[in-house]
Amino acid sequence: MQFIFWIACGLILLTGKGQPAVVSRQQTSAAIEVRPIDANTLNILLHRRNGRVLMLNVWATWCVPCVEEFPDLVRLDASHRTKGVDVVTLSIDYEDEIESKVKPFLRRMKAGMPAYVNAFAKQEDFITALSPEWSGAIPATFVFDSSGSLRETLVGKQSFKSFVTAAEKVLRKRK
Amino acid sequence: MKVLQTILLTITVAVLAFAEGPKKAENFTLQDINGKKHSLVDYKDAEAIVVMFIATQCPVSNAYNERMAALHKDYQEKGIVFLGINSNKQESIEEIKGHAAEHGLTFPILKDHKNVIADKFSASFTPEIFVLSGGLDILYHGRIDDSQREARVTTKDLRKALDEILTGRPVTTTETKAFGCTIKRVS
Repeated sequence: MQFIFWIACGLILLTGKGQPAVVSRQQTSAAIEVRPIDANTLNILLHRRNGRVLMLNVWATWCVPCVEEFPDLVRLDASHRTKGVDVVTLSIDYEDEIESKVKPFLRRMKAGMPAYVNAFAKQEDFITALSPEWSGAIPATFVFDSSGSLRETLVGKQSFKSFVTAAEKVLRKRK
Repeated sequence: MKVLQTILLTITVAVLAFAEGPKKAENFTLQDINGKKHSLVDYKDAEAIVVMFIATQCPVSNAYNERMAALHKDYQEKGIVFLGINSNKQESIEEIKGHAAEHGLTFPILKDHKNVIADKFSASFTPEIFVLSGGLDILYHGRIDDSQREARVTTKDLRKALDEILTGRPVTTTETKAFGCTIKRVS
């Protein structure tokens, strides 16, 4: 049974079928799109990199340091999108809070980055899928290189400078 | 040859891990919010010591206030000691006192100034739990249960570990993970 599951995962990864797939950038701030993310979608997000670095920020609307650092993520997206960095946000608010909490916050932040909400059945699976070393403390930002390997982990509130330093460190390794 | 090497390496790692046994906590002494001093070694005769890194302002920790109070109520008379630790730099003793009174948290809450004890335990978030034996072996580390929303809980990990300890069985799941708020440390 497990064998069939992994074959199916592999096919999904190869063909890109089995939507919802990777969310694109927000088109307008008025129509924010937030998708649930499960193991398959996360796998696609991490590995379909097209040569770009991924900065994946895990946050929640109830997390004060997450909210405080968010403007610097928006700024990072603006400054590094054209340099080969995809900034993606992943909220651990509940799926039934997308409309009431997540979208209004993203709208207020004028966040144009792709946005997800955790939809793993078990939070432990989500934590381990991102990094077995991660305790689950948020905010946490994971920097993956263009091959989908985790290169940097930033736990706790960051500054714009620390985001840039981590992004550029991984970008330099790409060259 | 490579397969044989891998098997030997795996066996060696497993043997070393087994030989190592449980990790030990270091004894400490801290004052609670009423000025009383507590050392872990004071509780050497307890069935277990539950050390809970908690917060007043963290919504995840606050989601567990009632569950922590219930755990304390259910297990203290069975010989299990509960110690809350607040290591967040911005949460004052007065704030912790008010918060404990408001939420019925009657176990001692120790103020960890400059997060020295959080550093010793490598605790990083709230609520984060360590269950220790009287001899300070770490028997369980992780979450209280698997969901912030009580209605969605499927595994009561801390209760399970305590029940196993009380019946003299080894703790089957010694490590769990959960989302939580980062402990706000001094810089």
